[in-house]
Amino acid sequence: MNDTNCGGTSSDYEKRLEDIIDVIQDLAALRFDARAHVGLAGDHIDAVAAGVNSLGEELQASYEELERRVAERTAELAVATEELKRQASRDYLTGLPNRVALWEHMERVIGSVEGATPGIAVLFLDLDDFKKVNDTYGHAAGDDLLVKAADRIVSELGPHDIAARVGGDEFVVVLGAVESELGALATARRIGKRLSAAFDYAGHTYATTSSVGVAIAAPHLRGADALVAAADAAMYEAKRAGRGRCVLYRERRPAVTQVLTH
Amino acid sequence: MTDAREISGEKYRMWTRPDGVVEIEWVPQVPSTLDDAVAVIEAMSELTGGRAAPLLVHTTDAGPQSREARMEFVRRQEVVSAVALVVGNPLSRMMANFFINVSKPEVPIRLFEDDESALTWLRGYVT
Repeated sequence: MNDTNCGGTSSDYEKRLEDIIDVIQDLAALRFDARAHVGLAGDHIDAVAAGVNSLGEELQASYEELERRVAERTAELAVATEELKRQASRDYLTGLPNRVALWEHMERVIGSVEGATPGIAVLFLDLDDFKKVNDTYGHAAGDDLLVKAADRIVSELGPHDIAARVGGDEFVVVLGAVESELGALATARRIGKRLSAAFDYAGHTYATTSSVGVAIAAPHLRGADALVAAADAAMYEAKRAGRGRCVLYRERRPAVTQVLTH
Repeated sequence: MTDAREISGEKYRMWTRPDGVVEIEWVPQVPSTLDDAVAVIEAMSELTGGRAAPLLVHTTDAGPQSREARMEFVRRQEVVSAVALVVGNPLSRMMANFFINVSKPEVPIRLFEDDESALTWLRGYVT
């Protein structure tokens, strides 16, 4: 049957409507480039076709905007997560790795070089005059001392070494490639000398020595806990021996003692 | 400011009326895109010397307009003080309503069925 309304037949209308239905289905399947044909008549079917096309454009724009925002938020989240991770593993004052990061690092490197040469050495450093600086010039001066001491320690390290702050004025250095006990002691001595140079703070100049305990990874010193404990014990022995000294941990006494500063 | 009173482009003709209202007529049934929107906005600025003026748009025979074109008209709406969309068939009515309700321009904008009513309303926005 012919329908002469607006010059079209019912089969023409059906075909135009089917075309629009196809486009709606395409859009529902997120095929956003689908477009219905808009004829020259400007009639209701053309209006529907143009409306579907316009809605499709809006849908595509909204979808793209949503995807853009999701990507943006995901990137922000990744940055925030990375920053949190960094903060969780860093000492807030000096920026050095903290105790947690130090232990992770040690477990990693100890496992990879166990029994090999070059090996691993741990230096345990304590600033001898930190409390005096804190008491005399205030906590800000003490903080400044810690930051500058950290910088000086790091400046003496090689590419395989790391330094961490593990307590108030206590630092641990892990030397990742030492050839011998003497090599480790030489590095400890170098760091000790560097730390003994004068510090400036707010118009004041002061100096401090440091006590250093050194432990070399060996069959009887396995794992991060044992190595750090040995270096810590050696450091206390250095303290007992006097200021500005370096002691190499020995399972059997006597330990090797060097004077770091003069 | 230029003395131009009428500007024609590939898809449009735009002119200034003595009462200060600007009119635009699109070439019938031709879809318009972002480039066309940019050209029309430039033409409007040239005709009015950059001052916002009321605009009467003959949309009855106009073809469909892309989203980018609609968004450009919204972005550059400082060139108009008010817009009257004169519609005459279902397609033009749908497109005009879509522009008003979805693109949401902030300038005064209304849909009219005849030129005279549109002009009467627009004259209130001649400065």
